[in-house]
Amino acid sequence: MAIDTDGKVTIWMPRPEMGQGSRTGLTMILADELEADWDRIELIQALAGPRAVWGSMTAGGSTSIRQFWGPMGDAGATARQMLVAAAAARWGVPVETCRAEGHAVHRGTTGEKLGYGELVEDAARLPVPEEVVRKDPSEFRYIDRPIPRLDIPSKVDGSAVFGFDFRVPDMKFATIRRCPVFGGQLRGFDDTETLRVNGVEQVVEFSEGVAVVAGSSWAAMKGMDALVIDWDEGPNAGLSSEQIHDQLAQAATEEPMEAERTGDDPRAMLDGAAKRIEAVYECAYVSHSPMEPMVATAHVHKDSVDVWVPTQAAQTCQNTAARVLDMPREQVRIHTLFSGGAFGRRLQADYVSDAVQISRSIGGPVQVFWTRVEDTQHGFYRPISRHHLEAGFDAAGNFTVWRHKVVAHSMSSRTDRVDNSALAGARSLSYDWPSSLIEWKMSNTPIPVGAWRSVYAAQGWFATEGFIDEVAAELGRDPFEFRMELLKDDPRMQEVLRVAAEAIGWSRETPEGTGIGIACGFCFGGRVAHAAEVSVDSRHRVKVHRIESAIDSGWVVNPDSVAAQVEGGVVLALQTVLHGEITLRNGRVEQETFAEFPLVTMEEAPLVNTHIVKGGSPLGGVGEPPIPPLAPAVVNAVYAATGKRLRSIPIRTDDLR
Amino acid sequence: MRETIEFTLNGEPVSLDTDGDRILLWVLRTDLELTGTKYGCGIGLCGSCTVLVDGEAERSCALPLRAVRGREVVTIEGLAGGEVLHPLQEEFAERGALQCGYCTPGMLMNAAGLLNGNPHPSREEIVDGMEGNLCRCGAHKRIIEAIDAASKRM
Ligand code: FES
Ligand code: FES
Repeated sequence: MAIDTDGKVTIWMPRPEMGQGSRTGLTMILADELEADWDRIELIQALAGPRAVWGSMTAGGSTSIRQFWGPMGDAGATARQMLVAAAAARWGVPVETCRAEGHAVHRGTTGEKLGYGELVEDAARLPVPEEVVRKDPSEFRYIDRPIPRLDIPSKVDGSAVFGFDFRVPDMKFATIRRCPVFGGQLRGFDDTETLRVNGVEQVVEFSEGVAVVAGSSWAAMKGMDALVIDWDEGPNAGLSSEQIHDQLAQAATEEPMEAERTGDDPRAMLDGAAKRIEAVYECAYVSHSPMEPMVATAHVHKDSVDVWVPTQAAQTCQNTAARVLDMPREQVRIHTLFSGGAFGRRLQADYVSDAVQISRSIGGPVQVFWTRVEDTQHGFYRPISRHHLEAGFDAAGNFTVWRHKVVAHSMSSRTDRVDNSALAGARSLSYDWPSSLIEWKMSNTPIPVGAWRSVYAAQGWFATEGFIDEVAAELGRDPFEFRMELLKDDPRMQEVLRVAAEAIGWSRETPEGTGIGIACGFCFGGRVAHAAEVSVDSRHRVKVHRIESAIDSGWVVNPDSVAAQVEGGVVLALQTVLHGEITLRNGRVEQETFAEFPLVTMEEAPLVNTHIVKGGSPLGGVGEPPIPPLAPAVVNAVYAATGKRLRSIPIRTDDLR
Repeated sequence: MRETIEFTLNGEPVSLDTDGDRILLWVLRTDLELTGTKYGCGIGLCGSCTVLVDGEAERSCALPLRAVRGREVVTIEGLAGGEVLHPLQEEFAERGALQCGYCTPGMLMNAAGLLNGNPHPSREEIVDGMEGNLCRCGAHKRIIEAIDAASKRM
């Protein structure tokens, strides 16, 4: 950070803004400690730099606020201490008699004050204090208040610069095509017709496919439509969703790895159970499909490169460009732009690799953009998964054992050990099972997978929370009460459940065809419970009317941003329940646009009420935790409404017939 | 085929000598350097590219330039009256009715068209009128509330 002699504060922001509000939250933390006036702060998005200096610049795992609460607050507090010391020296009084407030240092109660701008030159000459003194929370002026996001003004007047909006003089526009079949490659192309398209300049090959370079985006797209491409479709040309489904079903019959075991020997408990119930839960591939497709603008110079890109992971972009261009990392300047949505997709730097290769080929600046179709068909999808659940009961009808076997694509691809990250929502839960067995079976496919907001937690919790409802039903227990009992060691989870249940009016009678369901979940440092009210019409269509959400992510920096993340998370997760499915035929993704991969519309969006529960320290994540409990809350509500269990998302109307 | 196409853009006359088959979205974004109007799908499914043509919301990705000859086009850059934001913009900002903000210009322009035709819509009419505008971030609830609040002020 810097302060100039006019008192203007400049902050170099290490993390990107994707609309989650973390640039504002981080500014609040620094400004609060600095005692700075809100309207005298300017943000500059930091260029990608070494981790030793910046820490991780990656916005993933709901970490921006959590990881930078320390550094941003320390920066503000340190500067404040130095400004106070400078003022004390100027006045020749003890430091303790001076205090910072409102962008100035005040001398005792004399009413005398010196503005930060007047003090900064003196302060800069002082030694940096060894001990950072942070404010007492009771003195916070911004933190825990609903401060309007700093990125909003430019986003309502059209001036915000997203990836597609960035311009440099003389830049070209290029659109790309990758082999529609995963694992295939370019054999050749005929660009005769393409080169006749007005505005098209050249057609270039790059490692993953082919690009049409033109003077305008439109010409590039027209040129691409005219390009005749010959693909070598490779080994996956026959792959279909049915085969992948069968592969996972087959894997489920093979010997799994034991991931966790609690209580008395769960296998013996299952063998000796007087009664067992079992169910299979399934989750489909889901695409991120941010509203702004993948895009990056690159300019490769003689011995350096500039890339302007909406990204969650500037350092990954830097490493990727350095590797692709065989250039030292210091010569790669990554300028992070606003992202038109990300949800995990922009943790990948595949589109940066495209852009730098194409810029190098044409010897100048170029904006490389993907069409919606390309974006839908070349994602890093939320992994498909299959969950086998079993519960056992003794002769007296007591619940005695829980078993959850997860079969999924592992991002770590390790065959020698359990992939614990893929077991989020299945293992290490705070449920006090009488005894339990959690198992893992990897079943990888050629489909690229990646982190999709909440990563594996949504799939694991969907199965866990769906099946707990089934166990409660088997026992004739109220599913809310049953959870509360099993969660006696996790009072914070009990509290979010209680708040959500109360808000929805848990025990009231609901009209015919409607129902209420509840579910909870924990991931990335946040606990969330959703209570859902749904109806199912005579044509078996599910409508989610209202979601009451309680979130406990510890301390809160910006309550309005927390509410917005919960609301947005509900809608994003609802899409995976109602529509979101990527399927394969002949090795290629069948969906092209929002026609085949529909988003949640205004009519489908439920009313969402967020209840922030301040359970205490530490600071938890906010972006991802609202995702996992949504799907199970909805299917549990559908059960309450119809008596039918939906165990596969997205749900199908046929499952309700 | 090159031709001269004249229309009004955000209150100013423009004259372009170009191929009238070209799509308005890209002419705005490239030739006229107005990048507020967004590309989301290019085939009329998302509403990110919405502009006003003679006061009505239209998808600029589906409009050949020729179709706006002699007509009045307003983009997000022209929604405010100079420095004064349109009530819709104020309400969107006030209520944080956006996250990434990529869908926002289209939302605002579609809402402006909706209110031009029906200045005091019911909540159902707002939902109905915004049905074709997609938002991946899930700002739905706030968008509807912001439009409702703006209509009450106008
Ligand atoms: S870009 Fe025009 S409707 Fe999607
Ligand atoms: S705010 Fe991101 S798509 Fe609507």
